[in-house]
Parts: sequence; structure tokens; C-alpha cells
Amino acid sequence: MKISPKIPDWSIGIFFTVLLCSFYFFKVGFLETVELKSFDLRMRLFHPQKQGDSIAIIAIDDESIAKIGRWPWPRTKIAEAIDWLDSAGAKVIGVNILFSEPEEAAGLKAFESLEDKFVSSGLSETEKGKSFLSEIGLLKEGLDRDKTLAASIMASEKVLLPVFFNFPERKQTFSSNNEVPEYIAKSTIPSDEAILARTPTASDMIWPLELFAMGAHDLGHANRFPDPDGISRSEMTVITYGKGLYTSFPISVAASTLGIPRGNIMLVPSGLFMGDFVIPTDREMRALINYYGPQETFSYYSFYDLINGKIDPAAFKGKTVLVGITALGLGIVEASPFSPVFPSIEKMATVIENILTRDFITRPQWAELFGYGMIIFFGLVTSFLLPRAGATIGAYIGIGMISVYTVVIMVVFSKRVWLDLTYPTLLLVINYTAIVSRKYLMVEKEKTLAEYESDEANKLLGLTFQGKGMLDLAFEKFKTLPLTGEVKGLLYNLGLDFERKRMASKAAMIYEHIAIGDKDYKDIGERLSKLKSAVNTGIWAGAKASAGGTAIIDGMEKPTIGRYEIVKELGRGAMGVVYLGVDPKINRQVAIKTVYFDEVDPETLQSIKDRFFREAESAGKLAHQNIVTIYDVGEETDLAYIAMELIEGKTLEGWCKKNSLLPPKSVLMVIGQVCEALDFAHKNGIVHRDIKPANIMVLQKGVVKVTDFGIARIQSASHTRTGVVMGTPSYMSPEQVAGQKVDGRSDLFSLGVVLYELLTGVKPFKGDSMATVMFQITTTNAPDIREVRTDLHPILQSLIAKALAKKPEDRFQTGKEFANAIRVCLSKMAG
Amino acid sequence: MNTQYVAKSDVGNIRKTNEDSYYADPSTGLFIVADGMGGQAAGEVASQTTVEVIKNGLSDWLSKYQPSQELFAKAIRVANTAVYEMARSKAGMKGMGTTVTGILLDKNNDCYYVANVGDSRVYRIRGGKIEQLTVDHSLVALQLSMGIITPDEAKKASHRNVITQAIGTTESVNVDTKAEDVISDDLILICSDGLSSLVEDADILNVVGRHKDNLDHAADELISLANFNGGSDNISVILVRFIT
Repeated sequence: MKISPKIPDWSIGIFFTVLLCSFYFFKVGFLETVELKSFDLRMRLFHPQKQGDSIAIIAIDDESIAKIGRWPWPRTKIAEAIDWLDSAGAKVIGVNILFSEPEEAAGLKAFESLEDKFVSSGLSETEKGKSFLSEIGLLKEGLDRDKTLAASIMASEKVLLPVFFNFPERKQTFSSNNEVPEYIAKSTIPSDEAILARTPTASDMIWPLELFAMGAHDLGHANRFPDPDGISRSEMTVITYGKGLYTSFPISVAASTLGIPRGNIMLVPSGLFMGDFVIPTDREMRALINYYGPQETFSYYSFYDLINGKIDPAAFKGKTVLVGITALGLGIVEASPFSPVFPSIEKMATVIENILTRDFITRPQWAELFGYGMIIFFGLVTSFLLPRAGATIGAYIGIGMISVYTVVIMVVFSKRVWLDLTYPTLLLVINYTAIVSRKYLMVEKEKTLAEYESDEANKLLGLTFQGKGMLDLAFEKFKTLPLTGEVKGLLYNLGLDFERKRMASKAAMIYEHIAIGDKDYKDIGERLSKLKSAVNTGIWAGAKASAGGTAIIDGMEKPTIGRYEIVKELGRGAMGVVYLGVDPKINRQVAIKTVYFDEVDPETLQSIKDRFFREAESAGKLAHQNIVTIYDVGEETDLAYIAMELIEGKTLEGWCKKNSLLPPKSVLMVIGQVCEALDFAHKNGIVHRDIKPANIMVLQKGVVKVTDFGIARIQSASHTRTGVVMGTPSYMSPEQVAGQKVDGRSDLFSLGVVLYELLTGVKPFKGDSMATVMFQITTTNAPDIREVRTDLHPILQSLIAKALAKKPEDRFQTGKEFANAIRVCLSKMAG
Repeated sequence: MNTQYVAKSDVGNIRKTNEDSYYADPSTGLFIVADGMGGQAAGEVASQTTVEVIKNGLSDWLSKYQPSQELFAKAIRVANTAVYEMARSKAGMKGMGTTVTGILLDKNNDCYYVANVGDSRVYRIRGGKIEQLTVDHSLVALQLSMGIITPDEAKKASHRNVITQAIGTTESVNVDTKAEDVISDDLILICSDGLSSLVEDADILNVVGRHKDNLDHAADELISLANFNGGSDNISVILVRFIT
């Protein structure tokens, strides 16, 4: 399992910092909303207390509607109110009612049509007709209430009226060709092209009728610009239409109250300049509204009470009076940070009050820069400080920073400055969560790291076991590892090791395990098919091979037995296969005889093996020039092996045929050496038990070596398959055949049989069956050699006769004795 | 930081085979001694395997991780598993085990980590004083720490060879580790009990004091001294001197 490259904590922190900065830049909707809500909260906590009572609201409320009648009222009612307020000494009267259409007074039309008909009838030419016509004119004038209102507005000189703008559905550029009449244009403020672009540009304008506008002291737009969440937090100070720039209705009212001439109001970078102070705005010329409370923060008077003289005129002296509709269903309602229902007229009053008291909420031009600064500052602190702190300390740091920042932002707000709270604190929360949860995840990761470490432990264990030849244990360890490239390599090598040990099914199992992860890994496909066919044809150990032998298969790894590399098969005996091997440590060629235990009863296996090693060990002690040296004995799963001196020579088997006999003297010299070897072995307590031509080798210089000391016993014990175990009994001594205890003299009898065969080319005891041979050995004397081969020296017959005596005590008692007799023969034959 | 070191092992006077194993390598900073136990050749297998696993494990891991007490302990725990599983899988190795103790240098932090399982020992010789850095996992040490016996009794105790923990005898093992600062001229002695049970602390101090400039001679003389005092066990000695 690979661990992904470590992503440092700080980079996560930096990632979120950059993300938050981009959110901040693009003003992501929901974060903006969160910030606005936090603004509302701050507003509710730190709203200013209204000073004084310089603004009065005349509400056309439900009571007024109920008592005066259905809206719209005759405009004379408004005129009445204006007149009354004027006489009460109001300073400015803002009537937030749009008079854009003439009033359709009932009866006026009738009089007008009567007048038209009268004039067209020609009756008006008469004196009486003229006076009638002037009567109609007077009546008509009395009914034209617009004129009455216009007269009141004109007379008071302190009435302000609203205008409305429509905005294009989509943002598009408007030509500045929208012309307005002079009586509207007089209400614009100075502007220049550069600043116009900052303000919303209207596509359409609705203004009061000329007769009202002419007399109005000033105009102002009554458009509302609530935030996306519906709450009116700011006042659009100016709107562009055509070439003109129009202030909002409350600003116009405030300017009138303060006596600031139009020409002194202008846009400046920080907001709207009002002659000697600035209403701070954002780039789009919005001024934040500094609300004073939930509702009825201003003095409300019912319109009905007003025109019915129920209010003390002194209440309006010198005051700014706003007239607006608040009646249910008629009045315009907005939402404030305090309340979802807030009369628009009161909002206007609030704006005016803000201006009159110069109490503004500022969002400084540097606020955004400050926001970025705080995001980056918190980003850096959390990115680089948090990872070093523990989760708890980190939490303290995080909560501490959030608290301090929030308090600072609140204090700043109480000073009427709005700085962003949301983005920086959100970043703190996100980074804290991310880094701490990453720490948590890292703990999880460390778990997998621990797993990885246990993988490493298993790898190490596997390699250790493999190095010690304990391949099964090694596989057990490697099996637990995830199949990475490295592990596949380890397994592959282990597979090769199994192959070297000729454990085909184990090797196949390993390759199959690799194939789970990668069936095309190296040449495992090829190896698998070879191994399978090897197992199926029973060539390899582990399969129930009929011969129990091992063959070397092309393309396989060099098999090994113990530490020896197998070069080739030298031959097969009853006990097993003989291999030519190489000891890689000293690069010495060795012969390796193997003994299979594969059919041995598992219960007796251990005792058999123990005996094998005991025998082999003692045989290994025989250091004699005529005895093949044993280097090493060992065992592997199902076989034992003996590594011995490799001899370049021939066994006596080749000289046992009549047509390939050696000269008798040579035979005697060979047998003489065997006698020396046997004498040495017997003196060391080792009985060969299996003296036969195949176990006697003649080297190039005539040196004879006896091989396989002590092995016969192992073989007979280990290999129980009938017919194979025994081999031919031709060389057995009578006591061997009888199953009695044997000693060295048994070997000497067997050697006598070999001598007989080498001299004559025939075996002394022959038979069709094993039983016959054995019978002859125990009972029948061997035929005289001269009956077989007439040219042989008679003394040889006496030598043979003594060697093949049925009773051990009648034979040569030691190898030495036998050897001496041979020497005597040689000298006799020479003589 | 540089090190001078010498590592030697001797079969002793009585034993026929040396079942101790050791490894000393200034490049990995690993110096360990393992004292094997168990019949036939099994003790040797246990101590060899342990040293091998720790050596191979650390040389692999130190290419990926910083040296640490945990890393050192981990290598030793893996060695325990290796010996334990081998002992279980081969009849002739049943019951084999070994002690292991030694130090792992952390050159970046100028310190070394001492780890121990069993009763082989790490000593620090500084300013003419000798201090055992390891706590023996032995019955005697346990009894001493519990106050059941006195130091004098401990020296004479017949069960001095009984250890409470060994590598390879149980499925898991608790490795004692600690960190020590490298101080220039400090001499570290890592030895099997073939030395520590036969040579008194004062004699050790005497020998290393006389052969200040030749660690080789010091090690030889320590071994000779142990043999002179009986040589009843295999004697392994590693001496490491820090030169900063």
C-alpha cells in the first residue's frame, strides 16, 4: 500500500483561504446573506437612540380611510392638509403620493361637455348666455380639485413630491436622450459623466403633473432598493435618468430641511456631498440606513385627526412633516433589519433623521481591502499555527480568534462602521475544521500507516524465513501483503525458490497468488503451465511419482537440494535418484543421493529419519582412500539426501559380462582394495550391507572406491514399495537372507559374490525368482569357477570357496584377512 | 558525531559453541548484542536470526523513517515474531530464545536509543563512573526492585540466570526503550551476561580506564577477565565511544 504524497496542512489552509477570497470577490449569494444577517444582528444590538423629534409623520391610516372614505380621496383633502400644516408652521412637507395623472372628479366632465355644447349652440353669444357660461366656469373650477391642490402646493412653497423611475429588465445602456421638461429638470443635481456610471440608470420616469411639479419645492425619487433577501438596508441616494441625476425623496426632503441648495449637492468618491458633510455610500451610491428600532420610532399622526383639527398645530412647528399612506393594503411596506413589516414612510423618515443628525453607518472604501486582509491573515495563522497546535489548543486559538474578531467588529459597528464579519470568521471555522479533521483523518491514516508498518514487518519476516529456507513460513508472511510491484517481486523470487526445491505445487500456488493481482506478471503464465504439466506427469516431487525421482525440466530454475544446485541426473538406484550437484559455496561438484520418504507412514517417519541421519553421520566419519567421502547429509520435505564425493569412474557392473571381463589379476587388485575399505569400515563399526558391483567404482588410475556405506538399511526401511525395496538378493549373505544380525563378514561374503561374478561373468547363485536365489544362497554351494571358466587359476577357486562359506566363521574374518589371501593368490598366479 | 567502536565475542571456557550474536555498524548507528539460549544449535539460530532481523529491518526502514525508539522497538518485536514462529515450526528449535540489547544512534538529534529484552546489558561510562542504562528482565532484578532481596543476596542467588522476558519465547514481547543524549567521550558498553555476571563494575571501569585510547585492548582485556573469572558463558562485548 502506498501512501499518497503528503499534503502539508498549510496547503489545505491556503486552499480555503484562496477559496474564501474568491467567494469574497464574487460575492457569493448565500455568504452575502449570512453577512447581511450578521449586519442585522449588529444593527439590533447597536442601533442608535433617536435624538429629538424633528420629524412628524402624517399617516393616511386605516382610521382615516374609514372616516374619510375610499382611496383615492379628492385631492382637495390633501390640499386641506397642506394648507393646515403650512399654517401650523411646518418647515418642510413631504407628500409621498404620486400625482402623475389628473383627478377624474365626478361631474366635471358633465360640466365640460355642457359647456362645449352650450358654446357650439351659439347661445353663449348672448349676455345671459355669457353669464351662464361664467357660472358653468365657476362651477367647473370648484370641481377641478387638482387646481386646488396645485394652488396649495404653490402657496406653501415647502411641499416636496415624489417621482418614480422604471429600470430596464436587463442591464443595457441608455442613451441620454431621455428629455424631461424644465419643471422636472430643475430638481436634478450637478453631475459629471465619470460619476454617472456609478449610479443606477432608469429607462423611464414618472413625474407629477406639471401643475403640481411647477409649485413643488423639490422632487425626489421614491424607488425602493431592498437587498436580495427583501430587507431594505440602504437608500439609493441618486438615480440617473437622461442627463439628470435625481436624489431620493428623503434626501431631497432633508436637503430642503437643511436649506441646502440643489447646486451644492454632488457626488464625491466617498458618497453624496451635501454642502458641508457627506452621506457615506458604497460605490453604487447606496447609503446604509441607520434604523432606530422596530417600528413607530417617529411621531405618527392620523390624517383624519389632522384635517379635523384634533391636533395641536404646535406639534408641527418648525418640523419636517412627511405625509404617506400606511393603511392596510394601500400603504407601501418594506422590511427592516428589525421587522419584516416596516412602513416605507417611516423608512424615509429614518433616512431623513440620519441625515439631519449626521448619524450614518459607514462601510468604508477600505472595508473590502480590510476583509481580504483579515481573510488572508486568518488563513495564514490557521494554516501555519494550527497544525503545530494540538486539537484542543487549536480549538482555543480558533475560538479565541473568532471571539476577539467578533468583539472588535461589534465595537467597530457601535461606532457605525460596518466591516465584514462573515468571511474571515467563516475561514477560521473552515480551516480549523479542515485541519483538525485532517488531523483526525491523519490518525486514521496513521492506522493505515501502522498497517503499512505491519506490512513492512511481514515483509521483513518473510525475507528472514526465506533466507533461512523456511519457504512455507515465508509465503505465509508474503501472502498478507498487498500485491504491489515490490511484493510481486518478492513472491516471484519465493516461487523460484520453491521451484529450485522442486516443490511444484507450492511454486504454482505462489504464481497463482501473484496472478490474482497481475496475471501477466513476468513469465508466471508460462511457469504456471510448465509447473502444472510437471505435476500432472508426476515428474516432480510432491506428485506421486512412480519413480519417485526428479527430472530436470527445460527452462526451470536450477533446482536445488539443500544448498546444492542440481546439474543433472547421474542415475537411479533402488533408493532414489543420484544427481550431479554443485556446492555453490566452494564450487565443488558433488554426487547427491536422494532417499524419498514419500510413502512412509507419517508416524514412523521421524524415527526413520533419525536413523538415516545416524547412519549417514557414522558413514560420514569414514575417511579412507577407498571409501567415497560423505560431505553432508540433510533432509527436505519428503526426502533425505547425502552429498558425497563425486567420482569420475565406472562401477564394476560393466565388467560382469562374459565378453567384458577384466583379467583375473586386475579383478584381484580391485577386490583387494575393496577389502581394505571394508576392513577400515568394519573396524569403525560400519557394515556396508549392500556390497555389489554397482557400489564399487574404479577410477581412472585404478583406484577403487566403495560407495553407499550404511545406506542399504535406510533404504530398506524407508522404501517399502514391494519389489523395489529389495532389489536383487544375489549379493546377500546367508545371514542377511535369513534376516539375522549381520556383521562385517556378511560384507565379505557379498564381496566374494562380486569376485565370483567378475572372474566368471556369471553369478554364483542364480534362480528364476528371488526365492530361488535366496534358497541357493542359504543351502547350495556355488559352482566351481573353473566349471564356468576353465582358464582360471585353481587357487582362485579356493579363495572363492572360503569367501562364500555359508557360515560366517568359515569365511575370512576380516577384510584384512581377505586382502592378504588375495595377495597370496596374486603371488601364486604370478609364480 | 563520530564513533569509535569495537565488537568482540568469545566462546568462554566452558561452552562448546558460541550462542551469542552481535552486530555493530556505525553507518546505521546500530550496535546490538544477543545472547541465545536453547538446546542444540537453536540458541545460535535465535540470536543470529534476531540480529539479522533487526539489522535488515532497520537498514530498510531507516531509508524511509527517522530513527526513533518506536522504530528500534518495532524491529525487535519483528525479530521476536521471527524467532517465535521459527521455533514453533521446527521441532529442533522448540523453546529457543535470545536476549537482545543495544543502542541505535539518531545522528540528527544527537541522541541514541537504548532498547532491551532480557538480561544482556548496556552500560554508560562517563567521568569515571559506570551506569547501567538497561533494566535486566530477570527474576533477580525483579526481586531487587521489589525489595525482596538485597544486592548481596542477588549476587549469590542461584536463580540468577532466570530471565522474565526473552525474544522468541512468547508471541509478543515488551521492549524497554529510552533515549539518551550523546555526550562527547561517553563510552557505551553493550555486553552479554557472560561479561556482566563475572566482571565487577569496578573492574570494568578499571579496564576501560587503562585502555582509554585503545578500545580493542579494552575489549580483549574485558573478555580475558571474564574468562579468568571462570568464563562460564559466552562473552560478547561492544564498546562504542562518541566523539563530537
